[in-house]
Amino acid sequence: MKKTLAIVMATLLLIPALATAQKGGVELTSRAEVEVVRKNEKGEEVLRRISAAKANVAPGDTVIYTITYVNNGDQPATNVDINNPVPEHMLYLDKSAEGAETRIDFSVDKGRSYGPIARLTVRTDAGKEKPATPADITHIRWTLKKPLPAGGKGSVSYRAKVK
Amino acid sequence: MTDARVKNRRAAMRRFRPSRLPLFIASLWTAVRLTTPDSFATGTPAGTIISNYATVAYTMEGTPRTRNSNVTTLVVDDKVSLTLNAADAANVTITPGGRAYMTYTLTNTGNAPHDFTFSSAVTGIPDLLPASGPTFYADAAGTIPLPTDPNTGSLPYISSLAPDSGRTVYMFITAPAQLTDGQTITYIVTSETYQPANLGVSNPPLKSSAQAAVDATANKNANLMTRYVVLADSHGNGGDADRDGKYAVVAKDGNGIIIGFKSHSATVSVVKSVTVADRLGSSQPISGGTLRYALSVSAKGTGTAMGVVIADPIPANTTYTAGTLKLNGSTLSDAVDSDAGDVSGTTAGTVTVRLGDMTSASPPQIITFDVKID
Repeated sequence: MKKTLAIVMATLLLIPALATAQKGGVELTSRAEVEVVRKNEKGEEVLRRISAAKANVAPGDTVIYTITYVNNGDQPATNVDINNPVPEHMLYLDKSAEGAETRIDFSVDKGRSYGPIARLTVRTDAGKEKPATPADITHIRWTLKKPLPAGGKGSVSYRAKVK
Repeated sequence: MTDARVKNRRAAMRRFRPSRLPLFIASLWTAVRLTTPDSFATGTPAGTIISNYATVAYTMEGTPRTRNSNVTTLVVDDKVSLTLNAADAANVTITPGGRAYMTYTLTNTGNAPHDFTFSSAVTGIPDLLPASGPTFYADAAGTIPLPTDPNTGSLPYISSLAPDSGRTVYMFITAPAQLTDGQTITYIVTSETYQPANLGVSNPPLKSSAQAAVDATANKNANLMTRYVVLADSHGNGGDADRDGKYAVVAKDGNGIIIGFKSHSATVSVVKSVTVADRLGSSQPISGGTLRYALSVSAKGTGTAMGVVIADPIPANTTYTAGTLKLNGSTLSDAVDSDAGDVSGTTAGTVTVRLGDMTSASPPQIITFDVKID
């Protein structure tokens, strides 16, 4: 109970800080969804995505995070990096990060350094270096390969599992 | 708190020093971390809020800029999951009229505390109902019964079992006196999940909370922070279904054979014979003649007959011949003393021999004594 309250407070305190960003320029919208099996009019089972906030999400379930970006400015944006820290209590799902025309890098050290997963290492409790696994990923970074023109938009996504 | 954590916390404080608000947040998070186990074997606790946002960094008109997305939040639902393990690997021995227990371990494999009830049903031969029980106890000595809830038909229960915690319970029965050797009383034992703190009418079992689920959906649409109850349990070998909030188990041995309370009893039988020896060598029982009685005592069955005592009245119109009582060929004194037998000591006019515990492996015990016909 104490814990839930603390998280709610922390979340409430974070939101105004995030909302103070300037207007115009590149804007991001984040979406959390889960896939559910539903029957369509023909009675066939189809996979549909619904908002994670309104769905059942229990440990072991997978959440799809989609970040859409749009350049609302009147100038092109260059060196566009989109960065998403993997939330606490979540595990990044291997090979799930997607984004057209982007280079995808990962961090296993809370965003201090980035690279392809195959090149990252972590230290064991004994201090030995070992290859990083998807479970070690703390941040995902998408770098747009080309400048984003005024009015240009797109989306990137990844999946993570509730621990 | 380890030294490393102290260091991390201090480092976090240094980083956030320019502003008091983030420091406040940071210390809240630290508090959260300290009250949270480092690993979740059964998953993130129900009610945990998971937030996600992304940041974009770019250059426009030569100026580097950054910007955050909105924050998405979701609340981790209450995952109901349990297992019930029958711990016995072989039949539990019970004697007719005796008391014995079988052992079960319940584990809450969900991510929130719940109450769990226990119920049992006899399987197999319907006549083999126990004389009393089953009764569930918290201890193997059978002295601390689990509390029972009147709203669930007085089912015993464990209250507020934490996620990833297990509890061992002991199911006692008293066997019916008419249980015969080798008969086995077997059970299906079922545990069912309830919301914590309130059982029964005020809080129906989770599986029947269809209306509660509908309400939860409505609540969730109105308030996205509502947490659902998600039935995610698997089934046991006792015939329950997946996702029903129950786990039913039948105890089996390593070969998959159903086990239970197996009766081990022994039946003692006595075969009595008599031979006549008179002074003239005749085998006719005439006055003054002597009768030699022989009792052969043996046990059969898979159990042990405890403290077997043979009491044989001396026949009317005869007189016991002093000094003739023998057990397996060895003379026993007629008085009540340290040897196994006496005549008219324990009971007047009766030969009494205490044979102790006997099993089917015990050799037949032969008791002999002579009487003279009056």
